[in-house]
Amino acid sequence: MKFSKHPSRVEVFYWFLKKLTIMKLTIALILVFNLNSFAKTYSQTRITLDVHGAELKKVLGLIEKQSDYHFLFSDRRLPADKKVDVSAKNEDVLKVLNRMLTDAGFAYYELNNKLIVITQAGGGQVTIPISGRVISDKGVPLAGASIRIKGTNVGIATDSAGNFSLNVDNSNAVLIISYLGYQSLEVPVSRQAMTITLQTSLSSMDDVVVVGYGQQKKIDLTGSVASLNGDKDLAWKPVGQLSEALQGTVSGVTVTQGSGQPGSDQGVIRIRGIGTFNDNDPLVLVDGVQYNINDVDANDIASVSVLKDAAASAIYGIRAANGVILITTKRGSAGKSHISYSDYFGWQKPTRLSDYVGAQEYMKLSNELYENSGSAAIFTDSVINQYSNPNRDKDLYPDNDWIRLILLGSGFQQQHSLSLSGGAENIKYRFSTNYFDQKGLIDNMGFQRLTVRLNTDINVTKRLTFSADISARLANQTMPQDNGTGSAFFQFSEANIMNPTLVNKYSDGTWGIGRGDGNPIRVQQQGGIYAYKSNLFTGNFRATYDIVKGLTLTGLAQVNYTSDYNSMNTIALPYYNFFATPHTVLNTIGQNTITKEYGGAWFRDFQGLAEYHKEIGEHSFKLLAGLSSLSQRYDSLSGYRLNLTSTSLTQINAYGANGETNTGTANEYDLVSFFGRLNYSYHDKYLFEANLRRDGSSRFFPGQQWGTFPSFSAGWRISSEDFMLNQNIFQDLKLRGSWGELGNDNTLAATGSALTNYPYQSTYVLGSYPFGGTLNPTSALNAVPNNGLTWETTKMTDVGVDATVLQKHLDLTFDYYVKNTDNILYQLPIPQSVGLNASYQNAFSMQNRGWELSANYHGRAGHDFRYNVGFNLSDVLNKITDMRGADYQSTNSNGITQGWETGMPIGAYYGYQAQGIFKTAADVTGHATQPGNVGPGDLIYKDQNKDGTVDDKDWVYLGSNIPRYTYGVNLGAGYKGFDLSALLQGVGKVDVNDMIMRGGPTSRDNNFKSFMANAWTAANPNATYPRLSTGKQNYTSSSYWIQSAAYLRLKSVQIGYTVPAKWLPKSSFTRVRFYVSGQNLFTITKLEKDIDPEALNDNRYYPQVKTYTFGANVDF
Amino acid sequence: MLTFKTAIMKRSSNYIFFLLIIFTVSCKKQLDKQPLDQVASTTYWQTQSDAVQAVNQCYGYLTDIDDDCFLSCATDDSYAWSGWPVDVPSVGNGSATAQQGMFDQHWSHSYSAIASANNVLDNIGNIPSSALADTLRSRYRAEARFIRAYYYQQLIGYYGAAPLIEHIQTPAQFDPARTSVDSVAAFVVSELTVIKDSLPLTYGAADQGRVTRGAALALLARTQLYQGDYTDAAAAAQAVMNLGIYSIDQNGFDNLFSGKTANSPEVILAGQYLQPTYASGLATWMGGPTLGGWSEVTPTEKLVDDYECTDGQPITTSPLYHANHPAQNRDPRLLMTVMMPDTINVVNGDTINIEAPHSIDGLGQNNASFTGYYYKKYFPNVVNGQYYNNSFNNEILIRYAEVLLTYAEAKIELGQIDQSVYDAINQVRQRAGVGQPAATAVLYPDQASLRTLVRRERHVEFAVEPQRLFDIRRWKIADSVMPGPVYGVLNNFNSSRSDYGQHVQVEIRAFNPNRDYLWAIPQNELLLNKNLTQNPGW
Repeated sequence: MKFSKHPSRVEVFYWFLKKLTIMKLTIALILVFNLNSFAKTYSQTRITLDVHGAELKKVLGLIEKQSDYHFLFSDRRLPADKKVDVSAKNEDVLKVLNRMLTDAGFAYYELNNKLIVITQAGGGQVTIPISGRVISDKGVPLAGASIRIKGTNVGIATDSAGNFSLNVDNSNAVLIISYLGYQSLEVPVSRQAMTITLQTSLSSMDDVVVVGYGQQKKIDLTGSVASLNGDKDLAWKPVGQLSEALQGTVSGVTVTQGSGQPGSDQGVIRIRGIGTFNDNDPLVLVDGVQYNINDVDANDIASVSVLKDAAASAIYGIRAANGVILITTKRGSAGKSHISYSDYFGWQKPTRLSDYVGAQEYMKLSNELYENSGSAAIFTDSVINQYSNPNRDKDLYPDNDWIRLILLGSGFQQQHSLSLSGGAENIKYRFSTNYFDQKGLIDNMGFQRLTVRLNTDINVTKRLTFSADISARLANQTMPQDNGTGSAFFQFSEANIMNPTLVNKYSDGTWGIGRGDGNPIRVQQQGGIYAYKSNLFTGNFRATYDIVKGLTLTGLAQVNYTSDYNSMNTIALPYYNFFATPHTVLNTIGQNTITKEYGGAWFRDFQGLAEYHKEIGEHSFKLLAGLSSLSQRYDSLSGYRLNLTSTSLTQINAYGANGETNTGTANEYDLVSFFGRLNYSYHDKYLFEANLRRDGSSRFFPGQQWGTFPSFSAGWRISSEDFMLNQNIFQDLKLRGSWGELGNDNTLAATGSALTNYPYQSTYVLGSYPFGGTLNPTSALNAVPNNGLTWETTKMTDVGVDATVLQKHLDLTFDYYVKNTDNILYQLPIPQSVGLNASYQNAFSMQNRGWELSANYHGRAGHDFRYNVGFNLSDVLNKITDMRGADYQSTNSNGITQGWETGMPIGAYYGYQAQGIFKTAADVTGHATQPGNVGPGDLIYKDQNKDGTVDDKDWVYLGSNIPRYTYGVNLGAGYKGFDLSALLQGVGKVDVNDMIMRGGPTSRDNNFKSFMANAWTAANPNATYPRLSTGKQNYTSSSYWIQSAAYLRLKSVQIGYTVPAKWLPKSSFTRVRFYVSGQNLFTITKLEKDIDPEALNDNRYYPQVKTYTFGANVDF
Repeated sequence: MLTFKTAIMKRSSNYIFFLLIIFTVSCKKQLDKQPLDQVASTTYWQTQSDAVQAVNQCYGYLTDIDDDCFLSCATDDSYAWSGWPVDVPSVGNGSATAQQGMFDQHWSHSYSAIASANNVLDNIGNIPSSALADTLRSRYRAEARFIRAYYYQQLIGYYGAAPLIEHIQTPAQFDPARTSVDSVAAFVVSELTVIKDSLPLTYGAADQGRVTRGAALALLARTQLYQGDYTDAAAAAQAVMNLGIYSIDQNGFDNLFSGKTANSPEVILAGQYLQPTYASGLATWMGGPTLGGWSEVTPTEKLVDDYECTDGQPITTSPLYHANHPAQNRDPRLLMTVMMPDTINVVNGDTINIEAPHSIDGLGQNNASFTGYYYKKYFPNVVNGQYYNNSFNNEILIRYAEVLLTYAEAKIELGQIDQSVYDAINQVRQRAGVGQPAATAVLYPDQASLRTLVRRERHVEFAVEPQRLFDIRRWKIADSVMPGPVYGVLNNFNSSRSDYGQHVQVEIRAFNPNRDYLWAIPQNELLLNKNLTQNPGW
């Protein structure tokens, strides 16, 4: 727990002090982590007092208020009626105390932290020093755990290495050790150093979770918030990107990972489905500031909160429609310095590779393909028969499995993580660094990332605290050149198209030219390198000032700068004619070129917050008011030259100026916001919260820039009612309900990928056209203007239940929600006869309706075996509720038809209903006329309207690619030093059009997958796969290509062993743990075995990978 | 103590209040953000350069060789084996559907060009006369109107009736119905007639590539010929001939297209390319593996067979024709258009010989021609750069040979057969470096024989140029020339293939005369515009 930034920390402390004076305490306890707020200042050591016949306790209270001393005393020994007289004017506290207490027959001694213990004068003290260390069930030292002597309130907190020492007055004393998120434990004291292991708490209801601009106890939440622990839920997974680690952990959150390419393997995160036609990415805030989730090192994360409903996220207004993810990083705590190091080494393998036919089968199938399409056979029997001879001339008759040949990369990955934390009372720090290096399945393809973070907390004065967090991320993604754009796509697409009869290397080492575009293997090894460097620097500065009791002001300045520097070098590769003597150049592929791209993005966010907390009896009020000014600017510049002078030089100036080009641009975005929140609770039983945010966005036309987003939520803790006192079913039961509005100003550009900052603008795009051998400027009107544009609004209603049952062994959470998005910003397709791009409109409305269930069970068998099972399941039903009469369907360049129609899911699949395969020519003529050259062996499409012609009027709904029944199962178990973690994850219902993945080639310049050998032929009339053909009649949207992409995957599994402390050399290591883990180890799905259900793209893309890793964690 | 607290609170709230004011005041300006690399439409149309830049934009659509070179694959001239980058194979073989990307591409390209012209015409009047001289304003208008007319002429050729749009559309006007072919053609004719006098005969060196009066007249002649208005077509063609500034190129038929003679007096209008910054991917689409190309647009036997022998006779009657050596004794334009086996083809220093054993250009090789033939015509004399922008030769859109053959065809169809008809045809077939025997009244005495001649002349002269698609439609011969097997080269050199000794066969085409004389209106367009009707059969 990090309390230093917690706004209610001071309130907690005052509440605590108040209790101290009221309750029948023996000796007070103040935990070190609660003391973080007390500045050790030197100004408040003098006091002025003039009281007569006052109660001693009250006088002590007055001294506390004037000074920064605090008193610990026993009510029993300090009777309430003890009266004293004190008179002091600007006098030293200790002098005054000494005088006052001696007069009254008491003595005192001073502890650390300006704590003063008051005892009876002359009372002899027995002291037995004891010490020890508190660790978690995974062997991690617990900093800030509370140690209390049973029956007293004497206690102390552990330091950052989990160590503690204190004195007891009785050798039979018992210590009570407690730590948030863990079960409390009672241990008899011993004179030897003790090692105390705490077990993970049974119920997460005791947790404190981070919410927008603050923290709340989980039991007090009225919104739908899921929380994760950095170490327990995320950092153990051997993945390169944090987004991947989120997969399967939270109900209602779907993460899909489309690629395993190093540096491009980020997961796509969707909270409660797809809410808009635009950007559906949630807002991610790290310590309160906008971030890319993948720029955070999982080892730095203390906690993650996912805000799912409007009540929880409305405080973020116009940015929150897709949900919010709040990440809190770990911070230092006072005490001995603590060093932690972990690493792992892993190897990646593709999850799936296509199984292609060999050369001989390829030639037979090519002949079949062309003969089916009216052409002659291409390969004669004599050539085909050559392949039966194992001693054939392989220069003439090669047989290559290209998809496996190109996998020349080691797939090795490693990660090293080091953290150093500690501090004194007034300054605490945590430094961490992480290096991640991932090599690809392809040679010269990889990703390296170095992150550095320094979080510091400074108590400037008693009232003023300051924290400065600085972090950097240096990333470098590399890949071999291709002949055009530079990507893994070239390698995998070539390897999946290249047929087995193409030569890789002739017998004398001459490279084969591939399909004529170059040999991907040679390009991997001898081509230029495309390197994408991205450097991020962030500074997050926060000052908190406690003005008066209950009122805190916070100022926050956050600046980050991303600097991308890409270098794309291509090298011309000549290919030679092996059959000519001497070898002549066949063709030189590519040119010697260099492109350098620079992009710089500034992000600035300044925030001011005021918080006020007040309790009146059982009424508790919290008020928050804030303002924020956020601005972004992106600049880019690129230069290109060709005509290289030396292949080893890769700078612009190393190339000739002839043919050089340059481009550059910039864009800006500003958001100004005001927001407020009221929390009210009565008796901690009836909870209420209201949020209001007003945002002004530069993305809209003046007059339409400002939007207001309210939310309301309420909770009823039924289990706290009197009538629930005698039941033993629910240890906790809460009913929640919320309603709120959220906004979105994020629009995708016409390309469908980039965001645009000027959606309402109609502009002239500048270009050029040559006249008379010189470029002349041109300017094109880019779109139909629309000045009425404004933000999208999402209204969300949520009802939920939280319950803890089975004696706190099982936590249950269920939510049902309806999310309506209106005024969706969209470039409504317009007829092309308009001749301009469509402008953005507030076009459509959409609804997502769903439910989420999560259950977490913590169990224990015997003393040593403990386990937990977490299960989450969610469903979302998406439908377009209003298209304003503009319903449409559209067929993409792959021939896949999708619809945007009222009452149907967004982008649903449409097409013909396939009814089997024509077996005879008579079948063809007997059926309605189908498009294309149809013959036996082709798919039969149903003539839905029975008009004798199969055309677009016969299209029907075929399925939706929006996943339903997304689930995850998290397993954890421990036995003595062994621990096991596993995550199973999957989707219960989703459709995919796998035509581009399963469809056959339409030309010889392609390869056949093994199952295509069973395609329909006259001799194989009962085949289920249509005939091979150069025509597209079977490769159009139809139900034949719609498959269920439901799956279950063992996403992550890890087995660890913590070396018993007694085996470790004293005073150096405090923990040593080794582990093995695996990622994507097995998958159950009905899809064709070379289709990865998570990465539903064809195998021209970099595959998903399975990873096997070995690692260690060491603490000093 | 109480007063101290209050003081702090008061002071703090003053600060907060003060900060709030600063903050609010700064917001208004902060939220006004304009694009940094584009000009807002509200501030455009002030200056002469605004006008000329918007007019220049219209010309950008003329450089569309990447799509246009594939048009011949939709005719009997050429075969494309791949559906990328243009899905023309299904258009050629009759298996296209209304969702065909090619139909979409040409539709949207034409209307984008029309909108860019309409944008000029709707707004150029807003520039104050102090900023733009009237003569220049009227020339700019004429240039834009020409480009609009050019694309309407293309549209009716592809799709028949088409929405006639003369202004930038407001959302209420987004669903126009189709206007008949005759009305659109009448619009084109009237536009060209009106603007021709506002266009200069020639431009200075800096403006080479702009629309001239000759271009307007030549397009007028083409439109009228395609409409069967032979009298006006002949008159318009005659008007171009009378200008006296155009002539048949003297520097070689092949150089005209390869980019070597970009400013030839034969060129009336061409889309302009510029090395190295303004490029097309032509070499990739047309070239074979040795030339770094993908052999996507390759000649068929039908095209090759239509070239006469050097005696002026077709191969069916000429004694000079050798079936086993079809490159011998042929109209020289054949070897300047098609790289034939049995000849030495040297292009830009590379030798292409498909008969050589292990030739990467040979039959069955990857990226090699399926028909065995490659086009030489249009292959650029400079190939440099990435595959999608490696070529810099201009795309000739209108040239003088067409004007001559338009004149001849119109006169023949009118029955006005005189020496001027023979002269026009002979100027083309006897061009420098070609010199086919002259057509004379003795050899071609009547309308029927002249019609056969002029049609053959157009076929071989304009191979790979866009004319063929429109010609086989207006001559109503598509249903005879399109269907059936498509053959390529005679394979008398590769015995490992099953077609050894025969012509290679690349596909069997179908042609539905009730449907395929027009392309389909794009399916996605019909879904968006309920007032559009589909062409019959689609």
